[in-house]
Amino acid sequence: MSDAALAEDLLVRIRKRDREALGELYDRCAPRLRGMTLRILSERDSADRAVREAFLHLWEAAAPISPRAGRNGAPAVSSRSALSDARLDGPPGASAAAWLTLQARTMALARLRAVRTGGAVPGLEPSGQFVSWLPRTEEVEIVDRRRDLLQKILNQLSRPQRELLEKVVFEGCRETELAEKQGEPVAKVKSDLRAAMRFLRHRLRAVMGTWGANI
Amino acid sequence: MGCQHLEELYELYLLGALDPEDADRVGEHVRTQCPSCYEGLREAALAVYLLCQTTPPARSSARADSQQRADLLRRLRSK
Repeated sequence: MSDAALAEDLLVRIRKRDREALGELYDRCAPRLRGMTLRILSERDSADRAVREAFLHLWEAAAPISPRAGRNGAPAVSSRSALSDARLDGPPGASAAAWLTLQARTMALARLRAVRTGGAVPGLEPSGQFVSWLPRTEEVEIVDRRRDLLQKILNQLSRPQRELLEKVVFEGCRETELAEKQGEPVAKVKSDLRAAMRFLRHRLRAVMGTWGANI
Repeated sequence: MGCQHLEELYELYLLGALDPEDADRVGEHVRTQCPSCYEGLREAALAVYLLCQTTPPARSSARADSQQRADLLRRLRSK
């Protein structure tokens, strides 16, 4: 069973407050999540903490809503979990594995910013930015199955484009910040980044079968 | 701003890489619940997922894994 499909199965148990299910999900997904958070933080202990925070956040987000009171003091209208409620705005079958990945990135970048600014590491904050647009489980499964091909696509980008993308994904840089770091005009950095994303988007469509192209 | 100008910004918007002015422009349009943008953002989220998955897995020793897992479950119990 794929990680994405397993995550869906385990999420059903996690919603029922099955701690062991969260442990099983951790066993399956933590190494890949840790690979990402380690790339962001370059330090094992912090990388592990960011992964753990993502799982704790999943546990919180999947908690059943109290039958007596909903969130923000509003009357509860159902026993749906916060995660499935959030998915009311999103597509059916949105991927919990993708949710975890994006949460772990958010947690790791928050830690990175705290280290850089000397500020406190933020607490467990919900990050709903992606929830409405999460990819579906079957789409995530295709990406996971065709990882080699997708890596080949990424390798087709020029080295400067790949480096720009890496700074965005793993350092949380904004376009203007990138231009300062690279000593390049902002317009050039924006143009390069957007061209890289355009290339990636079109190739990803080909892999997903929604657009024809030779890869 | 029409949707066709937004397509190239979706991934960078989700990654938090846009400067505030561009991010606000995308955010304002997204709040109109435009169906076309909604699909575009969903597609972009898949690309973002892919980009996040480009690092190799980082495995720990069996003992360290076991400790990490136990620590996670212990924190659940304290909630």
